[in-house]
Amino acid sequence: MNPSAYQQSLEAAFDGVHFTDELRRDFFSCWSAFEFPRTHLITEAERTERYLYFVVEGVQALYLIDQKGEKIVLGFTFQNELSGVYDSFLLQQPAQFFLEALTPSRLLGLPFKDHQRLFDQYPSFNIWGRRFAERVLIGRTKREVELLTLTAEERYIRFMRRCPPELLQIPQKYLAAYLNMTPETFSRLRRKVRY
Amino acid sequence: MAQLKLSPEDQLRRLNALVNEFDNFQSLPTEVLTRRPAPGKWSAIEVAAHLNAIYDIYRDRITATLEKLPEGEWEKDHFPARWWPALFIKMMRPQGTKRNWKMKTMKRFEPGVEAESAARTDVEEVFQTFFENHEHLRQAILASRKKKVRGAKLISSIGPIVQFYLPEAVDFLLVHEERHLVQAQEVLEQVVTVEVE
Repeated sequence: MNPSAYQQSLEAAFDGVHFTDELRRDFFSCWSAFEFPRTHLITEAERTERYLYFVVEGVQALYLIDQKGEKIVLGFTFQNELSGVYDSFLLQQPAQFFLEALTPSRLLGLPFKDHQRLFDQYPSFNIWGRRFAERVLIGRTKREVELLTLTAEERYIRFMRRCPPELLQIPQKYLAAYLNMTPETFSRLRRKVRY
Repeated sequence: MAQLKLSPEDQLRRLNALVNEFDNFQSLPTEVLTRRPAPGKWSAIEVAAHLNAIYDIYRDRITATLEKLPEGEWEKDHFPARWWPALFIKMMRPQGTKRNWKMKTMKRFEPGVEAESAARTDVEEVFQTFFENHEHLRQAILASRKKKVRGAKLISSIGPIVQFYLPEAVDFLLVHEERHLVQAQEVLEQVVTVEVE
């Protein structure tokens, strides 16, 4: 898997970066390719995230284990998106979360040192960095409001309306955990509710 | 008694957290790691050596059990520990920084390092074994995610009176280590306080 084969989609994920020939050569040489089978733990809780990932193929879940040992799903990543346990990556400290491949996954990984160097060496990375941080903040706020204000049925309808088709292939228990409901409630809503 | 639910992800999280704590201890000076807080009490490095002695009992039993287990999906969500193993796991688990049910260590599980005369190389050897053991256990937990874990049992360090399924054995080891982590932290606090005074 050659990173430059994904030039268009990888550059699109870094919107705002002004790609010159020199930057392109440097940027694409930084990425390593990974293939993970279904259920593989790409990153484990309490280990430090080494890469910022770009998803070439597959669906991944980001989750933590609460005090009762239950999975709390924070989100999913899929094709052409950036992935990884980003706070652990930025802080280079042990992660709170697991990143698991829910379907066979092919990822490209950018190491922390190169990530930092690209920001220092090429100022236009700061434009992407700002836009990426804004998107993450807006997304997290929206999700928090949905979790705090909507009923289980309303959360289900909102989610199913915006859900990409590949997410419907993953085990329902992950979708239920993401929507903060039991798998039984999710299954009942799936049978009963039109969206 | 509430059912004890076990999962490999929870066990990995706790195992990795333990490794991080002991990794932090490595940077402490030898004289701090080997100092006993009182005569007859263990130093921090003796605590780690005791955990190595316990794992010596389990290493081959875990490997052999994994080989016997058929491939397959892990339990639906959690593995419910049976009441008898769960009783030992709960007895061993520290309640915050409180360690209930204190007991005398059997001779075969004693640390085996001469605490106060230990050199840096002895200390490093204990840590190296500790991290190798924990990588073995980590790989075993990862492998168990693709096994039918009710396929075989292993005899505990207590003896045949307590036999564990693999997730029960891993949890027993982890709560035992969590208990001794509390002890090691207390010891280090005490010996560093003495040094400052």
